Amino acid sequence: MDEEDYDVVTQEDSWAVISSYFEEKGLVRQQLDSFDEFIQNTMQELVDDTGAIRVRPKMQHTVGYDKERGEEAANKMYEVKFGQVYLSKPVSVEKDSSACNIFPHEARLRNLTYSAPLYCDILLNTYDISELDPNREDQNDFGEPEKMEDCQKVFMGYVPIMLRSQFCVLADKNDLELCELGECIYDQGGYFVINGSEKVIVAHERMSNNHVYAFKKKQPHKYSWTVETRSQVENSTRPTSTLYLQMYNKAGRGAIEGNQIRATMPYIRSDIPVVIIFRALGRNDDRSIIEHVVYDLEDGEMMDLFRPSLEEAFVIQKQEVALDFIGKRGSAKDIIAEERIAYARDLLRSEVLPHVGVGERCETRKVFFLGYAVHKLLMCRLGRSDEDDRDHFGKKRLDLAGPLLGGLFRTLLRKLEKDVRSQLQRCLDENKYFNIESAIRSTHITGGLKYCLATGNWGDRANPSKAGVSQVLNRLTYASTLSHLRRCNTPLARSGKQAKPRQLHNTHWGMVCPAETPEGQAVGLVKNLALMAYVSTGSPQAIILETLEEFGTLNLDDLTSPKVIADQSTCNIFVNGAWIGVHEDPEKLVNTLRGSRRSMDIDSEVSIVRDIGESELRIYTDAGRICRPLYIVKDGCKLAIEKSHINRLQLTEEDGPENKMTFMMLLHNGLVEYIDTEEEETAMVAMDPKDLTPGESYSSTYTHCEIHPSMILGICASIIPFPDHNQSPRNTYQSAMGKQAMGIYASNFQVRMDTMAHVLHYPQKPLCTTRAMEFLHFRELPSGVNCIVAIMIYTGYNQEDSLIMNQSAIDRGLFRSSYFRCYVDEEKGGSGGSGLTSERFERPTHDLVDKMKAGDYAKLDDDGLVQPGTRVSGTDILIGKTAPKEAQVGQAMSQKTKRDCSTAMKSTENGIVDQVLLSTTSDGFRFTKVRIRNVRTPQIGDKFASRHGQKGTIGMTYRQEDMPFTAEGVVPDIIVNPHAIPSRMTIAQLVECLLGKVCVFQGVEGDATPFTDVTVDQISKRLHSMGYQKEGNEALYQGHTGKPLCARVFIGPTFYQRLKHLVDDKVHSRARGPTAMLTRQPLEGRGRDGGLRMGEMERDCLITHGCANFIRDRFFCSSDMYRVHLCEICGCFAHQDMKNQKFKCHSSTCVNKPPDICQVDIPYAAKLLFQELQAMCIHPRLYTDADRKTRDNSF
Amino acid sequence: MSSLYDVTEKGVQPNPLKPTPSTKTSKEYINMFKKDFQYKVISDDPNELVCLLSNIDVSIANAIRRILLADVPTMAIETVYIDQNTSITHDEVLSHRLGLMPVLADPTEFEVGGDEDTDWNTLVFQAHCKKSNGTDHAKFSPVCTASYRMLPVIKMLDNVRGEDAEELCTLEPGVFKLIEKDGEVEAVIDDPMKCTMSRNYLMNPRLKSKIKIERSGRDFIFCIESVGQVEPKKLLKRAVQILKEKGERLVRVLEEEGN
Repeated sequence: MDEEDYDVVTQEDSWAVISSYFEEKGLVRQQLDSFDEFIQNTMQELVDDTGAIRVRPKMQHTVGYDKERGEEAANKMYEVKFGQVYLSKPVSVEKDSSACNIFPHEARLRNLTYSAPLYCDILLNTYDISELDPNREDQNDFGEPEKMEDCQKVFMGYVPIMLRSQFCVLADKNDLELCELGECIYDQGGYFVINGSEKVIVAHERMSNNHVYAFKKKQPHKYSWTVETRSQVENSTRPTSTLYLQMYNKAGRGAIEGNQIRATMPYIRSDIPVVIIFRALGRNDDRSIIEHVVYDLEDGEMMDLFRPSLEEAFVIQKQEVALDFIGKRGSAKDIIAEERIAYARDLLRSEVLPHVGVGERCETRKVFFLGYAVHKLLMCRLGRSDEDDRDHFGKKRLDLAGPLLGGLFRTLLRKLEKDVRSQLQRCLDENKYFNIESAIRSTHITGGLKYCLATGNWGDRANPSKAGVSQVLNRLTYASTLSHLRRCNTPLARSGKQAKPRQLHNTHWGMVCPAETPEGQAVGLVKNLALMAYVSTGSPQAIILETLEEFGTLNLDDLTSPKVIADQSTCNIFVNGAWIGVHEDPEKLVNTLRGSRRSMDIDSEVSIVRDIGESELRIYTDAGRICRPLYIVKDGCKLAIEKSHINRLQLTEEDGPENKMTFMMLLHNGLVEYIDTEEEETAMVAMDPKDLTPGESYSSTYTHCEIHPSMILGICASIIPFPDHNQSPRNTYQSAMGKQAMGIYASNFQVRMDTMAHVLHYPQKPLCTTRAMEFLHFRELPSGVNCIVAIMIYTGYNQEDSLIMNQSAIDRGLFRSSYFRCYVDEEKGGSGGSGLTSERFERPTHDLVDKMKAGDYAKLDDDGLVQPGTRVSGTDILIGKTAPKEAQVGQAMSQKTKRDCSTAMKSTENGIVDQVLLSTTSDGFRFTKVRIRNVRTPQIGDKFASRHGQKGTIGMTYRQEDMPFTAEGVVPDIIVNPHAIPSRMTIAQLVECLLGKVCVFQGVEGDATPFTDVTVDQISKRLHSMGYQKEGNEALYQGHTGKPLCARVFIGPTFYQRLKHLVDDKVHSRARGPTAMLTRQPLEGRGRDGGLRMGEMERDCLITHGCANFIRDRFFCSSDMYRVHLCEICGCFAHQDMKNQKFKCHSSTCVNKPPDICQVDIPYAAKLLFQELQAMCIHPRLYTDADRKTRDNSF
Repeated sequence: MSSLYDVTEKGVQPNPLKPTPSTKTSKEYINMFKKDFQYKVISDDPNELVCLLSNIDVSIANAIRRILLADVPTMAIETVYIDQNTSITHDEVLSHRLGLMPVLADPTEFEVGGDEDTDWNTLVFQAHCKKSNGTDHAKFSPVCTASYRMLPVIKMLDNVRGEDAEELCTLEPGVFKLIEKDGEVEAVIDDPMKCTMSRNYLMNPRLKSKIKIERSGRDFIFCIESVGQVEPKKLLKRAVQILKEKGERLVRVLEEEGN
C-alpha cells in the first residue's frame, strides 16, 4: 500500500463509522427516540390542544332550589384550563399510600408497573358574563376573569416509562451501577414493565397520508382509473377522510359519454362530478377550472380528455347551485336550501382534503390540490404517468411507541376532559364546591395506558382499533430480545392470499431485513428493521415553510396565473403532501435545502425529494419515515468523509473528548446524512468506497455511498456467517431458529424470575464471527458452542436430519443447560392481607383443610413455601395456600374450615428449588415467586441447529471410542448426514467449517461478514499452508473396527445452537387417565395427561386396512363406552338397580307390562345427545331389533 | 483384510493383492506374532507417548485404543455432598465440574477425601470418589485421547526433480527433502511418518505417476495422551493386561459353553 492509498477511506474504515452510530444509542434507538418525543413534546402538545373546559350553571327547577342564587350563578362562566405538564421519576405506591422511587428490576420481581406520575398545572377561572356583548368579535374572549385559581401540579395519573428512555432512572447509569440495580449490563431498554411483565410496542406499518395515489382499475370495470387521497390533519384525532376521484369508462346504453371524472366524498351518498366540486369551491368559469387542472392550455390531448367532465357539469354554473347539488346528496335530510348550502360548505371545508386546510380562506389551495389530483388522473389516463406502487416502502410509515401512545393519550385526555366537564357541571348545578384535584380522576390515564399495554388491544376498551400492539418481550436469547424490539407489523388480514404486500420490495433495501421474516401466515407481513435503519420522530414543518418562503417560493395563494405550473423549468413544492407553492429554480432550491440540512440548519431527518420527471419537490418532516445513514459523495466521485475523520472517530475518551468525533458530528459536518426511502430513489448510491475510484468507477454521478452493504441485514441475519453464500430461504430459516437457541439471555439471569428460561452452561463465542456481532453483543452473550462437525454417513443413525452426538463430549459438559421455571402466587381477597376472608400461605393439614391435592405437602415449611435446595418432582406442592371456606347453607359445618388452593409442580417436570421470593403486591397482599432449576443434558431427541437453517435432532449418541477419529486423534462432536447439504445449498456452512478450521489452528477469530473480499480460495490456501488438505477433508478411521474409512470426510469446527425444543418437555404417553367431565372422552394435551388423538387420517388408515374391531376398540371401548339399559317395548332408557339386578321401565306405555329390558353399550356422547334432544322435546327411541313383535309404536 | 491400503483420489481401499498374513492354527499365529511384533517408542514424556506398533492386526491395535479410552479404570469424584454453597455456581454445575477433575489416586488403592470447614462465596462439601471406567462416564477415561494412524508407505516410482520436487515439498510438508543431484534438485523421502495422507500430491498429474503413497495395515503409529493420573506407558501396559483378561474371559466362556 503506498502513501496515497493510506488516505483513502476503505470499507474497513466504515466500521469506525458504524461503531460510532451504535455507540450513540444502541440498537433500539427508534423505540427510545420515539418515546422521548412523546414524553417531551407530544404529551404537552396534546394537553395544550385540549381547549378550555367552559361550563355555565343551568337553571334548576327542583323543590327547594334557590332561584335567586341560581340566576346570579347563571351569569357566571366557569373555565378549566390545562397548562404545563410535569413528569416525575418512576414511583411505586404501597398499600400505606407511601410512594417511593422504584427501579425496573423491583417492578419486574414484584409484578408492579414501572410508571411515573404525571402532573399538570390547572387554571380555574370564573367570569362574569352578564355584561358581555353577545355579538363580540372573538366569541372566546370573556374579558378579565372575576376569580382566578391556579392549581399547581395536579396529579393526572401514571404514565408507564420506557426503560432506558430519558425519563427512566437507568438512563445515565454505568455498568457497575446497573449491576447493583439488578439490571443486565447489555440490556438496551426500549420496553415497558407492566404488572411485572416486559412489554414491547411493536411498530405498525401504515400507508402514508396526504399522498395522491393513482391506480389503474383491472378491466372490465366501471372506472378506468381512480385517484385517492387519504387526508389527515397533523396531530388530529379525526380519522382520515379519503377523497376518491374516478374516471368512468364508456358505460353501457343510456350512459353519458365516458371519461368523465367524478369524486366520492365522505358523507355524500353518490359520486359528484368533479367540476361541480370546483364550482362549489368558488370557481365558476370553465377557464379557471381548466387552468387549475390542465395547466398548459396548449395541451389539446388533455383538454379533450377533460371535456366530458366539463360537459357533465354544464347545467351547474353557480357556486350556490353546486353547493346545493352536493348538499342534496348529503346525509342531512329535510332541511331548507340555505341550511343545505351551509352544510355542503361546511363539509367541503372540513371533510374534503382537510390536510390542505380546514379554516376559512383555504378554498384556493383546495382548488389547486383538487386540480392536481385531477391532473394526475388525466396524466395517467393519457399514459404519461404510471400507476402508483402500493407497496413502495417510501409511502409507508411506521407508527412506533410515541405515535401509538400519543393517540392513546389523546383519547384518554378527551375522556378525562369529558369527565371533568360533567363533574363541574354537576357541582355548579348543585351549587357545591368544585375541587379540581378530586375531579381529575387519575384512573382514566393510569388505567387506560396500563390496560392497552398489558393486553395489546389498542384504543378503547370496548372496541379496540388494533390488537397485538404490545407484546410480551421475548427473552429466550439476547438476539431474540433485540430482534423483538426492532419488529414491525403490517395490520393486514393474515388470510389474504395476495402475495404483493408480502414480497420483498426494492425499496426495502437497507431498511428492512431481507431474510428475517416468519414463515407461514405472517410471511412478509411481519418485518424486522435492518441494523442501521432509523425511524424519523417528526419535526415541525414551520421551519421548512419559512425557509421555502425565504428562498423565493411562489405561494399558491399569490399565484396569479396557474400557467407557471405548466412550465417545465418550474417545480411544484409539496410539504408533507400539501401543495405549498411553485419555485422557478428548483435546482438551486434543492441545493440550498440539502446544504442547510447537512449543516443541521434544518433537521437532519427531513427528507428532500426532487422528482425531476414530475417536476415536483417533495419535502417530508413527518414521523415514521424509515431512513438510513449514507456517506455523502461530492462531485460525483469523492467521499466527503476523510481518513482524518475516521481517525478521530477511533479515538477513545482518554484521548480527550474534544478530539473524539461522534456520529452526530458526522451529521453536523455534512459527511453522512439520513436518506429516507423516497429520497433514496433520487440518489445514486455507490456500493463500496472502492467504486468511487476515478477511472474505475461505473458512474461519475454518485451522490451517496453505502456505509457497509452488510448493514442491510437485521439482528438475526447478522449472526449468520457468510449469509451471501447461502440459498436465501436458509437465512430466513436461521433467522427464525436463532430465536429459539439457548444461550445467556441477559447477564442478570440469576436475579430474574422469568416464567421460563433456558441458560446454556458453557456458551462460546463463535470462531467465525461477523463484524455486526460486536453491536449485538453476541460475543458476550453467545447462544451456542463450536463443535467439531463431521459431514459423513456413520452407522445410519443420522438419517433424515438427525445427528449423531459424542456421548463423551456430552459427559464433559457439551451443550449442558439449565432450565428455570417460576411459579407465582399471591394471597388474594380480604382486606389488607390479614383479614379473616383472605387467603394465607401456610402448610395445609388434612384435619383443617378440605380438598387437598394429591401432591406431597411434606416439602413445605411452616410458612407454606418450599426451601431453596429442595429436590422437587412430579406433583409436589411448592406453594401451600389456603382460603377460608364459606359456610354453605344446609351443610353441617365440618372441622375443615379452609379450602386448599396450593400450587403444585407441573406433573412432567422436576428440579431443585433455586430461589424463593416473598414480597407484597401494591395492594399489600403477600406475594411469592418460586423458581425451580433443572439441568438438561443433551439426549436422543433434543434439537440442534447450525447457523444455516440446518436443524436436526439427536438420533444416537456414541462414546468417544465408537466415534470415528482422524489421524491426529480428533473425534467429532456431531456427525451430520451429507444428504442435508446438496438440496439445501447451505454453502456457507461449509465455508464456516473451513474458516473455523483455519481459525482453530491459527488461534484467531475468523471474519465471516458478508459482502467482503474474503473468498473460499483464500481460506483454503490458508488451511493448506498449515499442512492440511485444502478442502478441509480428512481421512478417518472407523471407531468400532479401527479400519480406515474409504472416503475422505469433511470435518471441522462449526458453531452449533441448542434449540429450546427438548424431548423431556415433549415425551408423552398414556394408558389410562383423566376424561372430560361432560363427554367422558379422554382429555387432550400432555399437560393434562391426555390421550393421544386418533385423528381422521389415522381412522382412514384403519378403514382401509379393514380392522373393524380395532376401530371399535380405539373409538369406542378406549374412549367413552357407556352401558345403558333399554326398554325393548318403548325404546326408552330403563331404570336399573345393578345391585339387586332389577330393571324396570317407568314410561306410561310400559308401566303395567312385564319388563323387557336389554343392555347395550353406546358412546357416552350418544347418551348425552339423546338427553339433550329430550330437553328439546325430541325423544329418540332405541330398539335392538327392528322386526320385534312386542315393539310399541303407539306413541 | 489387507496389510496395505491404496490411497487414491477415490478413497482408501484395501489392496486385495496384499492380504494380511494368516496361519492355519492359532498357535502358529501366536508364534508369528511373537516373531514379527515390534514395539518402538518414538517419543515419550509424562503426558504423551508416541510409539510404533509394527506387525499387528488392526483389530488388536483398535482393541488397545478402545480399552484405553473406555476400559482402563481411574478414580474420579462421583458423589458430592454440598453443605454450603453461597457461590453463583449451582450445586449441579459445581459437582459436574468436580467430577471432571482428574484425581491423582491409584485406582487400586484409594481413600475417601476428607472434609474441611469454613460466608459469601463459601463452599463446604464432601466429595466421594468412585473407581470406574470410560464406559460409565467420560470422566473416568484415563486418556484425553488414544488414537493411532497407519504408517504411510512411500514409494518413489521415478525420480522427482526440478519444479516438481519443490512442489512436492510444499504439497507434502516434511515428508520429502530436497537434495542436489546432477545440478538439479531432487526430492527424496525424508520422514514418511510426517505424511498426513492429505493426497495433495495426486493433484499434480506428473507427481501422481512418479510417487505412490500407501498405508500399511499392520503398522500403527500409536499416540496416547494421558489425562495425568497415570503415565501413558503404564496405561498401555494396563490396557494390554485388560485385553488379555478379556481374551481369557472369552476363552473361559467358550469353554464353559462347550461343556
